[in-house]
Amino acid sequence: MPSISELEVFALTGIVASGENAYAVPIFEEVEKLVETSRELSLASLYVTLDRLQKKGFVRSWYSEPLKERGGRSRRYFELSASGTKALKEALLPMRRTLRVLNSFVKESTQ
Amino acid sequence: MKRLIGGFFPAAAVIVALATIFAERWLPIPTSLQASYFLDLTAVAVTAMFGVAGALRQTKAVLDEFTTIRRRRADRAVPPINAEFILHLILSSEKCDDQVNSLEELYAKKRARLGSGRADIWYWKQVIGLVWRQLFRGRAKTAVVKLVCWALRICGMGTLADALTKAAAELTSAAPQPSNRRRP
Repeated sequence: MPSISELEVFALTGIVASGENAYAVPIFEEVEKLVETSRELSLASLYVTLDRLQKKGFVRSWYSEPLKERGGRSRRYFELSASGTKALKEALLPMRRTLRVLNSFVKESTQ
Repeated sequence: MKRLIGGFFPAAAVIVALATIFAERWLPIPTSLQASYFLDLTAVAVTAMFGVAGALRQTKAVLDEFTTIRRRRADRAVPPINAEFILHLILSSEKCDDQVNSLEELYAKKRARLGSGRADIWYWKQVIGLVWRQLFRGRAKTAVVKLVCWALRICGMGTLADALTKAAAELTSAAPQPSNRRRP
């Protein structure tokens, strides 16, 4: 399985959090919440990350029909593939373990 | 520019100046030296008056126009036109539609949160980022890889250089673009 960077994990999380409405703007807003406040996220780096994820086979994308509210222009929607879901789960595994340990530590200290 | 040099007052100033020169040079009016100086001074004063009044009037008109444009932009939350034009020049049509519209949506939100000045700066930064990625993405990396390969060949490690070139070509190949217009 190809390796996965921090921004790629954020982008995958952003796609999951955006749900059915996963195009660049909601994904960008979700990723902006996740990245450090000192680091400004650019739309260009998000697009590059999404392209890279698609190249790795973690993400599928398609253009919508032209939309009225966008002046007849289309949107590019994203969706996680099966391998993308698996990669995200694997990337989040260490965090889950850490959280579990921290939770047990907090419980012990409060008892 | 047309507005600055056009209009009644500057034209009147030029007419007065030319009429004075014409009267002094070619009309058979016997004038003393003092009268001539007086005529010159009057002409200069009138010209300056017309000139200043005209310039002020035209400056006010230009400023009014700028204010109207700014007010119109404030109402509609339109991103910097020049920046958008650059994107239209550089990106392919479908990519451009998607990216410009996403930028516009984000710009409107940023503008509501940060104000127009900072939102404009944000927009320009995003456009520069997109243009940079579009024009130079992979090229800098390719140049570095070529340099390393050249160094390896000089050191007699041609096989390693070939392997590196192959790997770099694979890495810098274009990402698959969405071709279908509906959900797969």
